Amino acid sequence: MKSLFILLLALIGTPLFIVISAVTLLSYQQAGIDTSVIFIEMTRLGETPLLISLPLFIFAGTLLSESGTPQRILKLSQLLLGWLPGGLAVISLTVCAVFTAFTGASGVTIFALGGLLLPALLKDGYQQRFSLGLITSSGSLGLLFPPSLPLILYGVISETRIDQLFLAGIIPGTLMLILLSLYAIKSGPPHLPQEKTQSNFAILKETIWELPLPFIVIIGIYGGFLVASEAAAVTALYVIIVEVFIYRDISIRQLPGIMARSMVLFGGIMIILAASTASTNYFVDQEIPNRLFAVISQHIESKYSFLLLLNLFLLLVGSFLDIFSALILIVPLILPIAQNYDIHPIHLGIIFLTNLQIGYCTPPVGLNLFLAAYRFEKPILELYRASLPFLGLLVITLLLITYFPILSLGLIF
Amino acid sequence: SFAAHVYKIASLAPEGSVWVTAFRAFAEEVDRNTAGEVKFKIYPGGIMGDDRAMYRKMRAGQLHGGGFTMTGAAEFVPDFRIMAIPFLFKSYDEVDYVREQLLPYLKGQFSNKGIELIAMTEVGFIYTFSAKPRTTIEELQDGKTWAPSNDPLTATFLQSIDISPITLTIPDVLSSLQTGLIDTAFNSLYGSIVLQWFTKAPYVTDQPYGYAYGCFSMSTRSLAKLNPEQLRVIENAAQTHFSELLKSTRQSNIDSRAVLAQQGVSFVKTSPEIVARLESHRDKTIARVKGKSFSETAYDKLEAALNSYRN
Amino acid sequence: MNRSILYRITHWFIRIEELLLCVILLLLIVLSSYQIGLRWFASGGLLWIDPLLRNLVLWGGLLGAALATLSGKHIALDLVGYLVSDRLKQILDLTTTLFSAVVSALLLRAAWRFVQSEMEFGGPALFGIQSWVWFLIFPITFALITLHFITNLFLDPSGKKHPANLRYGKGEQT
Ligand code: NA
Ligand code: NA
Repeated sequence: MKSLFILLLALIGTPLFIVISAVTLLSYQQAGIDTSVIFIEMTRLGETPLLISLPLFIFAGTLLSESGTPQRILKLSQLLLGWLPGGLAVISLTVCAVFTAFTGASGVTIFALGGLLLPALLKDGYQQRFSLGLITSSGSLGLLFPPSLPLILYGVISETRIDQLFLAGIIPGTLMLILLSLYAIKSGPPHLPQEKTQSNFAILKETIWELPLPFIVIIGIYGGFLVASEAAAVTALYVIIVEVFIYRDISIRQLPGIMARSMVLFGGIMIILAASTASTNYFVDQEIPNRLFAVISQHIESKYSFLLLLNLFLLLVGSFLDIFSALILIVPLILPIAQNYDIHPIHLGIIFLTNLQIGYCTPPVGLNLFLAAYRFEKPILELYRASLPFLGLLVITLLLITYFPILSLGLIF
Repeated sequence: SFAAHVYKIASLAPEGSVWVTAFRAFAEEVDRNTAGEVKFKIYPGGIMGDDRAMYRKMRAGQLHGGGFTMTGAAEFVPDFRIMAIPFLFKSYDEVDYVREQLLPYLKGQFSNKGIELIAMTEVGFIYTFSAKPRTTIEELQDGKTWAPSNDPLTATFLQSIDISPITLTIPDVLSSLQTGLIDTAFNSLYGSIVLQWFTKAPYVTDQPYGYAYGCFSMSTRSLAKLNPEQLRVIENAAQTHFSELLKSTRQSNIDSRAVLAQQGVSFVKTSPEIVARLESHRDKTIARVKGKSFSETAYDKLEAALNSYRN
Repeated sequence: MNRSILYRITHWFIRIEELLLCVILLLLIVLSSYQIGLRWFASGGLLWIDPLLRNLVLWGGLLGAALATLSGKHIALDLVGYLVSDRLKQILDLTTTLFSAVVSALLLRAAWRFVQSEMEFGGPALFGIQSWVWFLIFPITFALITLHFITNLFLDPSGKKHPANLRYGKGEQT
């Protein structure tokens, strides 16, 4: 009864951390656990070494998206991929993927890049529906590439190794990119030669400071110079230096506002994480994942039918919840069950993120659909139709990722 | 369950390890000999959190006991770390003798904190594992050496030989060995297999660095609910199964030597002169931490016990 | 209650919380980078930096959450909000805000009990400061969050005149 009341309050817009806390307080009371244990769990969260990379990458991503970076990397990609048939579509997909990896899937890609890409695509002769669908679905492409925030968050929650997660995402993410690119090339207009306003050299020179960004993370971590949290600090410091002092896209006076906003964004995620850690403690105490597994395993024997059901469940969750809440709420419950089915936690992570990524553009309530509708002032139904073919391709990738664990685990083991 | 008393016990040790297996056997015997009145529920593998979280949860009443590591228990009973002084013990016989001598004192220290020390457990002698052979102090200084978080003894000792250790929690050690953030770490032979550290640090200096151990303890408050007969059952079962555990831990460490050698791990020798130098640094470390990291009383008792064994 | 005073007080809370958040983020960046520099060029770091960073992340995240409360930026489901009339929406908002205030007050109580237990049994932590001092952030945050929810009962956080929106502007909701 009380739980039903809380669910109702959740549906009418109560902050999620309050909803989780309320349920946690209730369940602790019923199980006879002292409520101060909630804060013991929060101290545990505070000791997670990876946690620090969240505010740092959030800040770096916010700063990047408010600077001239989107325009500059777009120009650079045109230089690198402009020769390709369907080049602009491939460029759009690639740029969105890289940008999302750095800014997290917060819809910022659609806002920062969509506005630049859509007119360019239309001008190049792409159909409006195709262009809208492409931008909507690419708004969360890149979630599987380092150093994407959801990937790190999965590492934090599941206590898996972040360096392995980063490696695991590369092949599945690239596969997704290739499939979408092939489709784009096939359905693109006949290739028009690009008109250039700047020489290749000028473009390269202009973007010279942003080029090293992906390599800081990759070389830093896999070269043994940095742990993941340190790579975040170096990225944040580098982005400040580049955007504020070299390009001067952001003035020093703007910086405090951006910093405060990043920390508010981080706070919003961390407080849910804290509340959920406390509720997870209740699951652990009552051995709920074990009991759930006992029930589920009576009906589902094979790992593969479990994975199929998991995918359906996650697609549903992904279209209703934002990616952070979905990860925080579902991972602690599913992870121990999946391990009983002998699914590797890293493979599970890639499946999770792919599902949630698809959920972003799944009707009726995928966030990207709303963001794109809002940004480009189009009716939501038009976006449903536009994103369908892309959605189909993403689902094919999902099935490949799910049933061929080697795609995720091949680079690690 | 319908038992009169259900005790929740947590541990960092993973399911299937010697420690958890022994604990389950202990719990089974208590269950049997109290006619199902006293049961234990175990939460292994750190799912209830690290030592600190376990201690806090014991205070809040969510947990009733835990298998603590030395560093974890030393946070509430600092004197518990007294046997972890590097290059102290020469053999397990010495360890056993000193432990029996110190036990009553340590039990008293635990009781003062509202916790009962039921039994001591061990990891065993720990060795230096490294990516390159490190048999001299100079070679050690060249390396990037790990120290456990919250372990003032190791940190102070390493600093006394001019090594600034990189402190990491145990779950971070393997990935840091892999990326090269650290290249030297300490573990028992069995522990290095359980945690797979040897795969990234295949050189073992064949001279124990120190002795690692822990304890099983329960809150005084939770035990106060039992009658004397039930308490005696727990005590007897602990006596049997935790001495069994010492034996099986030691056997695992012996077996591990062969397993490691088979996996291509090299055991490299160091010289008596180097050991002597390290022992002199040990003495400097003791002088520096005595009265801070552990009490003078505890050290005096340790010294007395060691002397009486050696003479 | 006089609204303009409430506006002014709220405005100051925002400024102070923002300032703290900026200082914390700057410290996170500077201290981490300094630690990396020490390791690369002086082959070793300072032992106190990592635990201090962990504390700062906790403080920053919690204070960020407090400020998120004031500016109505918490993640929520809100499936019904778009469907109902403005009048009904206001009533629903009041209900959720009131409920949130009650739950955060309960959390405040739990946080305080945790700190009390640390006072009694905890020991010296980083820099020799007692552990409970570092954990004061828990009751402080939940006191702030409770206070901010109560403030939001009087000042509509989604309204244009809310001090948080005057500073941030709406529309960059992410
Ligand atoms: Na959790
Ligand atoms: Na969504």
